[in-house]
Amino acid sequence: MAFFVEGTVFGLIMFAIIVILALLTLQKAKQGYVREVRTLPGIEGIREAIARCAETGRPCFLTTGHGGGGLYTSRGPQHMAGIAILSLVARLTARLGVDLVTTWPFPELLPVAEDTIYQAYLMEGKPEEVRPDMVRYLAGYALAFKMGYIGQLTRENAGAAIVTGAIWPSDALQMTEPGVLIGAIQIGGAPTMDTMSMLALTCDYIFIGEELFSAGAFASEDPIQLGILFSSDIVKIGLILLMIVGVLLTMMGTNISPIFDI
Amino acid sequence: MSGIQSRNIPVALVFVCGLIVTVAFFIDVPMLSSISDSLQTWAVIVSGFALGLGIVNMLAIHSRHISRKTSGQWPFSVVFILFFLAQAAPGLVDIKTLSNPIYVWVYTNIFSPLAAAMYAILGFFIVSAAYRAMRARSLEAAFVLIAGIIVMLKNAPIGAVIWSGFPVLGTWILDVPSAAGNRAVFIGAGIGTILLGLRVLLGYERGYLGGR
Repeated sequence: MAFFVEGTVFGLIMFAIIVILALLTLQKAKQGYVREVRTLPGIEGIREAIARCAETGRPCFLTTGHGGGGLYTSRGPQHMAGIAILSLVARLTARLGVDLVTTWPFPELLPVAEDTIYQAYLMEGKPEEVRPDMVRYLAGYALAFKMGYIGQLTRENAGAAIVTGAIWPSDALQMTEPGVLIGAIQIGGAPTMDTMSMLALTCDYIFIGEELFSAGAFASEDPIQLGILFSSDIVKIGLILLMIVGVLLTMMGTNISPIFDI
Repeated sequence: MSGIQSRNIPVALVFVCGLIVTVAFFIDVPMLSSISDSLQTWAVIVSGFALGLGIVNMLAIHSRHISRKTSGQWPFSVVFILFFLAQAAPGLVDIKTLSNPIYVWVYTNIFSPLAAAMYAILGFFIVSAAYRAMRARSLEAAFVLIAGIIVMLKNAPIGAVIWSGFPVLGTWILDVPSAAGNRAVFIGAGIGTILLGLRVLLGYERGYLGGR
């Protein structure tokens, strides 16, 4: 097994299965086999929140959180998921004439956010409405970032706050409780249970677990992207079956743990 | 450069780099690992250079607030710029060790207490959020209330005094239903991450390029 990095073979097999299934469902989607998908409450929440901002004339805030790392760390996918949500949010704020404010803890996210917002406003035919202060770098240090975010959120009296991405449990409460106090509609999203439980206390809508990573595909309404998501359902059914087999084998006295270490 | 080329080149770069880093994670080929390490080091270096971008962004936004005398904001912007310069200057004097006395004094006596105060506020936030969560207005909220009380009594010494079963019940709630839910979310998030990565590598998810 010297060809493979030790301890990654089982992971590689699972990874390969997921990728192959995704490619198969992608091929099906390209052939026009499109499955009906449910609506994500979080996406509907974003639409409602931005509509409320338009009615009340209050700004919409968005952040992908600090989470302890930027784009090049293991937190990168969570920031990417937040950027995909920004794409939808920026289009809606452009369409409804809502003031958009995004705050960032890592400077490498700034050009990505600027491009995303500009592209969204361009697609809505309003590129001239993009302002430099829509993208604000606050601080790389987590506490300073949170202090800056809370200060600006409350001073500018945000009507909506979208906190989705790389969020720590303590960040979740510190960043969203002030939003409750000013009466903002809040949409939260994180892939971990401890953060989600905090967001559930303060947010009106949340993206639960993998919904965060799927939100970009749902927002795009692109049948091919939605087709890829179908593969995750197949994988989950397979994993449930695998768990049942594992439980039965363990009950029969077989030690299955070495399989995960190959 | 045409629109098609300007879009396809970044997507191709992401695909090649993503593929190298992913394959190097599983397969032990020294040359591949070396390229993967270099790519990840480049990412750190690019991020370091981007810090300058962040500083320019902050100074530009706060300068604009001051020049326009933005209501409710410009005094904060003045404070920010003054403190930014006051802290950056002594830090730059001794940039290798960051041991300049003025820099250390400001960090220890101003920043650290403010940071501690920020964490202290969390206690109040938890209480107010827990109060909202534990109002039993529905069956689901009642479950949260009951589970929350049992886990609190498991952790508080008085719980075991009231009834010796609270620690056992509280541990069961954390180890069985809570852990099961936690793992389900964790597995779902893992699959979601892989699929997001695949959408990015294949060029379907282009949020990072500024939209679809």
